[in-house]
Amino acid sequence: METFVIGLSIGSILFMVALGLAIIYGTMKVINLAHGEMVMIGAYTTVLATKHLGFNLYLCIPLAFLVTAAFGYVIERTVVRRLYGRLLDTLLATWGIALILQQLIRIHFGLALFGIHIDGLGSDLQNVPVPSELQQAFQFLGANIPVYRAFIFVMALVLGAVSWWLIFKTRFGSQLRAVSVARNTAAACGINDKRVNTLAFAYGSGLAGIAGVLVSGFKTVSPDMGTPYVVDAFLVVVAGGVGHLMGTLLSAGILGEVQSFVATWLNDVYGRTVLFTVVILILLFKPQGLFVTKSR
Amino acid sequence: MTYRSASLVAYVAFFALLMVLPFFLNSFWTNRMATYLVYSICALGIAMSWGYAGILSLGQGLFFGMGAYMLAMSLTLADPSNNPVPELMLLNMEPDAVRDLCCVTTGSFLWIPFRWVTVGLLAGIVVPCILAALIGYVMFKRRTTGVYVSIITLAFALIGQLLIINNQPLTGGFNGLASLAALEVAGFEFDPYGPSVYYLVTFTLLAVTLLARYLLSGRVGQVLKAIREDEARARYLGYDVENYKLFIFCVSAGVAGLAGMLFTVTSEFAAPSLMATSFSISMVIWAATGGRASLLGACIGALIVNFIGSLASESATFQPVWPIILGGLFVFVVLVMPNGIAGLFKDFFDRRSASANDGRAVPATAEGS
Amino acid sequence: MLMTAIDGKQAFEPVASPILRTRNLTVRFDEFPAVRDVNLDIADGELRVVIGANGAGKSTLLDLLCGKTLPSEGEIWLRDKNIAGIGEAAIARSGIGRKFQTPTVFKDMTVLENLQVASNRRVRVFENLFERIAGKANEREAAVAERTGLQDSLSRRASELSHGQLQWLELAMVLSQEPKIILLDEPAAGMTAAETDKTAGLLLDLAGDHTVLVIEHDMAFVRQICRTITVMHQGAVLAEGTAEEIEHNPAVIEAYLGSATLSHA
Repeated sequence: METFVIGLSIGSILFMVALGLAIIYGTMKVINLAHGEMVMIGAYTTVLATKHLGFNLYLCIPLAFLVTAAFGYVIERTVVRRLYGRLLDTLLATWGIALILQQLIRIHFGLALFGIHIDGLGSDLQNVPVPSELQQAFQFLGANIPVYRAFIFVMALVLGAVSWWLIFKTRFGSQLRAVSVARNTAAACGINDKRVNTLAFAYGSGLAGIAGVLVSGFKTVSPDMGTPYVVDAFLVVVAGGVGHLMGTLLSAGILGEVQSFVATWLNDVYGRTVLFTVVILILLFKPQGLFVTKSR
Repeated sequence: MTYRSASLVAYVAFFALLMVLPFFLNSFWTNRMATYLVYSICALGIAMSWGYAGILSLGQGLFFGMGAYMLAMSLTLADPSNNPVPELMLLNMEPDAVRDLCCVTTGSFLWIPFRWVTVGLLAGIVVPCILAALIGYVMFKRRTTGVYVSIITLAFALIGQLLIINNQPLTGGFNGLASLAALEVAGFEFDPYGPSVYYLVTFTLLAVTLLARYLLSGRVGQVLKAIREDEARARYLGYDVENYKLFIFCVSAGVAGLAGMLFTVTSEFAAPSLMATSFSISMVIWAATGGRASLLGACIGALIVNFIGSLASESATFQPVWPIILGGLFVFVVLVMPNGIAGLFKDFFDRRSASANDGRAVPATAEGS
Repeated sequence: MLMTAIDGKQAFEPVASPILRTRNLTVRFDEFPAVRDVNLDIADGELRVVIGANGAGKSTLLDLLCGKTLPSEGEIWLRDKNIAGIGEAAIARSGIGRKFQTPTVFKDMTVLENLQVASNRRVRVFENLFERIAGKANEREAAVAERTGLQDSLSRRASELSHGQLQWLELAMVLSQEPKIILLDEPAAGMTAAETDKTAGLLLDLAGDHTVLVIEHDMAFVRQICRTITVMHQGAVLAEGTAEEIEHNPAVIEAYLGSATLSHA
């Protein structure tokens, strides 16, 4: 049961990161390798806001969303926009962006060059204070469950629900879906596809930022913390089937559990090894995703 | 001067420069340059599969690392301090284990063939090739294409890295293999800091370049280009696309393995970091900077990026901003010059020939510079 | 054009020794039968036209014949070899060439290079390792280029060609394969009247040496070139016969009632 809950929380984080990536990849066929850095920036926003502004973790969630969404907005407008249709090139360019963002944190946005240091930045590891009520644990079905893990799980569900509402119940969502299915037709129907892209990119980045806040609560924060997330999250997206919210949710859950159970049974390394193996097999034998029935 | 003769001149000039370079370098820089030329070989392998066949492997580090480990195992055993069993195994063995390669740690018998350096040298190419053949066979038979190939190879490299880190008693784990003897072939010892290793690398680069050029300027290269352009059409013309892809993928892996071995020789270690995602992606960036579809371009790209990086790391001011410059370079190359340095070179000649003469253009049968 | 149609009139007879036969050829997409129980017999050297409304399964039929789509049921015999499921490349090697509706050529290569890739008959990797590339067209490539009017464009990149020229290039590539059977999907689509006439002439010229299977919408074009017509409707073969017979076939008229395609073309 404990293992299951750990798996659930791994899956929840994966889901939050993957959700943003799924929206970005699904809408504009861009592989954003800087997505992990959005998680990192979300985490650093938390570090800085708790240190300097006296924010608590809850307040950091909307703040981090805004900050990372702004980063996403800028990245889309300056770089990604010029690369539509060049899938492999977006991969390289966003990797470059990832390097830049990591290093900016390490050198305090360049201020370090002038001898100015901001507490909370730099290459050192950082920690974030977690509200005391989240540090408790409760009993459920005979298992000891940390409140924080449950909180992550609930947040994942909430974000999933919000995204679902946004995509399927709003005007923006229908434009988004139109663009992702048939960009040119949508543009011809008067949808400003570029604006949709930019907003989708910003929203997706914002989700990663929220994931970053939650990650910062139980892991140390460092400039290169984001890289593993983007790889895992991308694997979740393709395994779940591109453009399928439910698929992303299920595959995040399954992959989180697989990793958690194998890790408990053998060790962490094997947990990840099995995770990658599963994903390779999915990509090879069901590249359209686990939960998609192929039509035509 | 036509583009073709100009690119011939570029090739000759490049290698002539490499031949005389050690006369102007101290031993530290000779070693550095040798390592960068190893990276050039890597980039060459990527240009072969990515530039010509459109297969972008993000797991090239796996093959590079395998090559490095294969030779490093032999060189570890060649070092007197590692006799009869490597030190790393002594540190990790059960207290009552027999101090022999057969059974000192689990799986240590796998090291036995590597007592002969020849085995290490051969395995450095053969093992990556076999590995690539297995991965490639499944991938291409399943008709995996494009970004999925990149992700699958990336995942394989991650697995490789994890397994090496995890099997410390066999592989040296996180620290890798670092107490190595110098490579000795037929009684001649290669000195990593002397011109001998430098020339070993340079001549290997020359040989690989010539072979790649011969292969890719012929029918195989033409068919690969056709496959890159339109895979389905190539099939309807009767070509077994997956065999061609498998072939170039394996060749590219073999080249990476060869580079990995030379890396062990110049840098005197092999570590799991060689299989890291970031290293694999860096290799792709070198090739992209120089020109993904150009063999010479890829070589030059690797040299330039690493050379500037090394200069930057010398300077206290530039060292912290170097990753930013590097990241900016990736973005710049992709946005502004997708065909890299070689692309600029080619554009220049295309434009000149377009303005100088019309209709007399030579059919461009060979790609690249 | 009507004159040609009358001149081209021939009596429909079952084929004696077919080069291509399909038996109960069926394919379903998500249980929807796109092609059902198609039995074709095509004679060596025949020029056969397949017509039918959009979605009648014409293109899918060609996809099945060239291996692009795997049949759910049924057999495809090329002389005495069942080629169903052996893969596109193997099918191509056994003598079937396919031209698509939207031309698929190697855009970043020159016309000559396109033809060279197509006309090379040694397809294995290791056969080609030491094979050099000639800087100019060989006899066969030159002949094909001449026939398709591309002889002056050999050194141009395919991406610089006009749409009509791309159609010709793809056709030229298929011809360089020297296939026994040529599958053509709306070869005259998007061509000017003059080009259409030229295409019709070429098809008539090809038939005899090659077996040609053409999908076409344009009835004028069909009358111009055709010997035997196969009408497809909802995935199945509705009728087979000469243009004359088809136009008076009650089942065809029923299926096309109100459609201008047949009656007023």
